[in-house]
Amino acid sequence: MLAVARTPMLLCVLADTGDAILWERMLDALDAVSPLVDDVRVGLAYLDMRGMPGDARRWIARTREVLMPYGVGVRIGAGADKFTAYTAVRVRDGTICAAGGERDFLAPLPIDLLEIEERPRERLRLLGVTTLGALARLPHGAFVRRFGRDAARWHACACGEDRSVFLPRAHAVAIEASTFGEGRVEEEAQLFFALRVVLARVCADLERCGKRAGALELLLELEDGTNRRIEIALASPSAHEKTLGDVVRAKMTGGTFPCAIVGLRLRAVRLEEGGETLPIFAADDVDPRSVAVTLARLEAVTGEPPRRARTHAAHALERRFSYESFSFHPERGRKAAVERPMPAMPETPVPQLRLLAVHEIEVRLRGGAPAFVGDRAVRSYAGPWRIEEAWFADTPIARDEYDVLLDDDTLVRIYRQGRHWYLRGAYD
Amino acid sequence: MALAAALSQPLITSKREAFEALRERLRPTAMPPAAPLLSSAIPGLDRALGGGFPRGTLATLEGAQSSGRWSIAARLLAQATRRSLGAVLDAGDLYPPDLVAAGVALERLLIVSAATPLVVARAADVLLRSRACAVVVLAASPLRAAIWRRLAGLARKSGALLLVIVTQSPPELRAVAGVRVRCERNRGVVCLR
Repeated sequence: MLAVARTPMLLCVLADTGDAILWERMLDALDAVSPLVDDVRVGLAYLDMRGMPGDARRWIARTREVLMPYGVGVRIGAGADKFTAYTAVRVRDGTICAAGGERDFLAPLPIDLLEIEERPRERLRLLGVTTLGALARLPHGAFVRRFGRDAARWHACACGEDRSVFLPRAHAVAIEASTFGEGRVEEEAQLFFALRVVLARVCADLERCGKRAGALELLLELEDGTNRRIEIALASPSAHEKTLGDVVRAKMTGGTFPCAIVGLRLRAVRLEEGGETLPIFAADDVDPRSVAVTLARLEAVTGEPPRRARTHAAHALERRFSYESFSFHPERGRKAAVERPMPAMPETPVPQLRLLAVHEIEVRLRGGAPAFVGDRAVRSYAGPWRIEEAWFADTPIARDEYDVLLDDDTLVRIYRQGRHWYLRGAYD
Repeated sequence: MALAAALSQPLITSKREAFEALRERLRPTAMPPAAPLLSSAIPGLDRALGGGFPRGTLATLEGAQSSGRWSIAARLLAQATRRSLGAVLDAGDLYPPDLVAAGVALERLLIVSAATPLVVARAADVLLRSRACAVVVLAASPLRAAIWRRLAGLARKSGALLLVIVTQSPPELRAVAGVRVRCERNRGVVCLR
C-alpha cells in the first residue's frame, strides 16, 4: 500500500467492458506500461507512472497501443491524483491535467462528478454549490461538521488533493496445466478423462498456492489446427476438485467439435485467497459447491446463465428492475445480511404483477376515466399515475398508468400513451 | 478415562470426515433443522394445510388470473429465501419489485429463463437434483405424466417444495400432486388435497 505523492502522474483507464475475464487480460497487458496498476473494479484502473520515461502524452499513446488488440472502447486521462485523473477521463478522452493546475482544472466542473448521494447533493444545490470550485471555496471545518465525514473527502477532491490510497495489483500467479501430443480425443468419455487429469493438477497447484479459482479457461487444440477457447465462470470461487470437475463437465456436455481434439490447456483465473466456506452452523444453509455446479448445469440446459434480479428507483415499470448473472458468496452474503437486513414480510399477501407482452387494447372512457376494457366493464380503478421523462432519458416515455379491476374480478395494469391504450400486465 | 473415550472414537482419515465430525460436534449450537412444513404465513391457508406446505412435495396452485396464485407463491419464496435459496422458472413475465414487496430476498432467488416445456422440465430436474433450493416455482407446462412423476420423485428426494402454478391441473399433474390448492377470486382458497 502506498500513498501517491502530488507531483507524479497517474493514468486513469476507463474501459467499456463488464467482462471480468477480458478485463483480467487487459490488466496483464497494462503491466507493459507500468509495473504499478491499481485494479479498482472491472473497467477502471489507475497506473502509477512515477519514474517511467516519457511524458503523459506518450504514456497515453502507449496505453492505447497495448489495449488496442482487445477491441474494447478505452478512455484514458492523466492527473496528479486519482480523482483528477478520473475527472480528466470523464471530461474528454485523452485529457491531461498538469501537476499544480488541478484546482483550476476542476473548478468549473459540476459536483456530480463526486458521486455524492442524492440528499446531500440536493442540499448543496440549494446552497448554490453546483461546481467543484464553489465546493472548494467552502471553509473546510464548517463544511465537514455540517455534512459529515464524507464531506472531508469531497472537499479534498474538489481542491485537487485526493488522498485515496493507490493499491497496486499483486503479481498474477499463473496456475495452469496442459496435455499435448498424447493422442487424439474423439469421444466424450476420453475428453472427460483428459480433463480430469489436467484438473487434478490445477487443483493441486491451487491448494499449494492457497488460492481459489473464480473461473477456468479451457483451451482446446483441434486436429485441424484451430483452437477453441471456453470460459467457465464459477458462481462461487473454489479449489475443490469435484466441484470444478462437475462444473466443467456440465459446461462441456452436449458440445460438439468438427474434428478430434489433440491438446488441451486448463488455466485457473480470477484467483482469490484460499479457504472454502462450508455450512457448519446452519443445518439447511446453502452449500456454495452445489450452487456452483447447479448454475453450470442450468446454463448448459437453458443456454444462458441463471440470473438474479436487482431493483432500482425509476419511473417506468420496466426500468425498476434489471437482471445480472447469479453469483453466490456466502461470506459476503452474511456480511450483507448484517448490514442490510432481509426485507420484512408483509402481514397480508402482496398482489404480484405479471408482465405481459405489451399490446394495444380498446378502452372506452366515461368522464375521462376507463369504463370498459375490451368488452369488460371496469368495476373500479386506481390512477392515473403520470410517467413523464424528458431530456434525461434516452427514449423518453410519457404515459398515464391505471390499475383496473374488471367485472370478472381480473386486476390489470393498463396505460394510455398518446391516443392509444395498452395492456401492460395482470395481477395474480 | 478421557484417553479411553478418545481412543474409542473412529480415526479421521480425510478432510471430509474431519468436517463432518466437526459439524456433528457443533450441531447442538447450530440452527435448528428446517421444519418439515413451509408456512405460507397466511393463517387460514396454513391451518387448512395442517401447518403449511410439506417440503419434498409437488404442490399445485390452481386458479384463474388474478386469483392470487402468485401472491401465495411469493410468500413461500419469501420464507424460503430467509435461510436457503428459491428458484423461479421464468417465462419472461416476472416483475421483481413486487417480489421484494412480498419479502423475497432477491439475492437468494435464482431466476432461470425457461420458455419451452422441454427446458422447463430439464431446468426443474437440475434444480431439484441439486438440493440447493428450498422452493422451486414454475408455471405449468404441457409435460408428459412420466416427467411429472420424475419431478415429484426428485422433489421428495431433495426435500424441496415444487410449486406448479396452473389454471386447472391436467389429470397427469393431479395424479402426482401431494397438495392441491385452488384459488378463487374474491372467495379465498380451497385445499383440494
